[in-house]
Amino acid sequence: MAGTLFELYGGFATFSAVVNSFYQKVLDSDELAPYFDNVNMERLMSHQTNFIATALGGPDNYEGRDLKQVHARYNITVPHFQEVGELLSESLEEAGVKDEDVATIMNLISGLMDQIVSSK
Amino acid sequence: MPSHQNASQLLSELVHNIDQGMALCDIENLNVIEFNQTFASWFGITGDNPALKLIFADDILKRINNAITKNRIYRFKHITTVNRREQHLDLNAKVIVLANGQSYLFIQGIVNNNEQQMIKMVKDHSVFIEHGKQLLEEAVVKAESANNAKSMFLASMSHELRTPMNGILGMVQQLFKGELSEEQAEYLTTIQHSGDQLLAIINQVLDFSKIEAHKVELHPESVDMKQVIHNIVSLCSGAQEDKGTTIAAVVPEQTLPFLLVDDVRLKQVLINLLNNAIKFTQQGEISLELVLINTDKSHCQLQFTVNDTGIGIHPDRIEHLFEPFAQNDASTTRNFGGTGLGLTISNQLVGLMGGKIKVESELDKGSNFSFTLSLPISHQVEPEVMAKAPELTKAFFKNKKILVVDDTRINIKIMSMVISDTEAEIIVATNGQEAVEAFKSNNIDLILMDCLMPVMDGFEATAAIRAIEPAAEHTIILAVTASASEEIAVQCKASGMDDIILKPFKFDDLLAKLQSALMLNHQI
Repeated sequence: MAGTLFELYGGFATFSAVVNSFYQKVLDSDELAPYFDNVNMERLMSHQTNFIATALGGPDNYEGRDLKQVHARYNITVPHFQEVGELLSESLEEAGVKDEDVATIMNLISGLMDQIVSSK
Repeated sequence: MPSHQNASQLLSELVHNIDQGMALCDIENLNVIEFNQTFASWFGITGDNPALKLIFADDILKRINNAITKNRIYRFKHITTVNRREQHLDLNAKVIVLANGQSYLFIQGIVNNNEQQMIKMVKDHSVFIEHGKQLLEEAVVKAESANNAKSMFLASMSHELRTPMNGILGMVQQLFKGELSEEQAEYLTTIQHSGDQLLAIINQVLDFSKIEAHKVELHPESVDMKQVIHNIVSLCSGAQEDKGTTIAAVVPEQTLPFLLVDDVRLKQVLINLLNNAIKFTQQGEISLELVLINTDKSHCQLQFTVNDTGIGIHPDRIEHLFEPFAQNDASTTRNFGGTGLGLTISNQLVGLMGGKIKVESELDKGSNFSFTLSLPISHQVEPEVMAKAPELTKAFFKNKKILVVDDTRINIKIMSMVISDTEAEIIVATNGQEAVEAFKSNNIDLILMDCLMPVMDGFEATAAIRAIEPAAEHTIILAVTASASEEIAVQCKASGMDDIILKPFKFDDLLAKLQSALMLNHQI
């Protein structure tokens, strides 16, 4: 695992902090917050941490369901998806992740857009 | 009731005094328009309308601007120094619209040192744990070295004790050869029995320290188990001649295959259990029972049981029975003798063979000690039959030259006593160097070599002799040592010695060994 982005930036300790700050930002956003009404944030954050760990070459502990299936009922729009992406990239920057690595990660995330966005 | 003006003044004072810092900024140029005392103290603001860019770094300003454009809250952390003390601030920035309809940037925050305190606590804790770990490691090292020292002490003590025992038992054997009155013979017999007993105890202590130091290795041989049982019973029957007890060997009727087991160690265990039974049984029956539990292609499962009708063991004592130096109770040692190591050693040996000794006992009814071993079936059809020791013939030693090498006068004397009964010629050397010289100038047939000597030890001397003797004329060199350790045995073989004789020895045993060595040499 050495040499992966996950290891490079300090593994779970770093990325669970990133996920933490990322969801704080999401909940701070008046537009995004309603998506998360009645959502168990603790579970979501732990899913998200594992998802990022797996995506960045760390240990594969992601046990969440299929992305498309999970997001379908929320009718997520493209601008909202982009907004969330921006917040994530901000959290990554704040955690000291280099610009080029943020770009790599964001590239990875935008590849998921088809599975997450289901509304115009 | 305060007047309206008073109330607004009070509120303004209140705002200045709360622990929360707050500032209102121009949304365009990010200059601070209003701020409370707390905010001012955090950032050392003295003048009016300071610019935010003098307070925060560029990346923070960038994200603040971002938050303004996107109309969201931006949360961030900032470290500042107030009164030379580091303070960690949790801040957030967001756009608010006031009653005048204007939008402003509102920054507020609190001091939050929790994280730092937590980090410090974790650090302290880990220092504390590290310290505890160090103490523990030191204690383990100490305990290990103390235990090693104990094992070393036991091993070297028993070694040191064997050497004088050789003197005592040797002299007794020599005395028996002479004319003795009945009384003298009785005294001598007592000395010999006591000596034998003492030697047995020394051997037990040595065994115990070797097992403790994990230095015991098993050497499995192919054996006829039923024969082993019969041999042990007939051997032990001698020990209870004049008591009102009988000893029976109970073995299965069917034929057993030859089995692989370290028979020396197995016999040691069974003899120990049987001798215990004899010791604690005044009347009745003792039996050594062998039961075949199960057999398959490769293994035989056998149960060994020693039953007695003796004094029995109190239930409270059974669990302590296998602890070293613990006998049934302290008075046992006085009444029955022994080191209290026999059962410990037996249990450890059975453990090495893959079993565990079980005890059942009833006071005044008797005890039974049993264990089960799963022994591999030997593919050797016949067990190796030891060449029968040849009849001792003194004539065989005629004209043979035997070199005795030892730095202890008593040992030389005793070995000379044994050999002087034969017609062999004895040459004496008191260290390895003398031995090499004596070897050069005499036509030596056999060498009895002590291992540890001043000037040159037995290993070096053996190596030197092996180097100078002609290849076709191998001289038998027998190590004579009080040390029964595997290391010494390995060292003896490595230096070129042919066999080992353990001190103290029985005269006849030594003679038999010398004779078979000489015969072997003759054949070569």
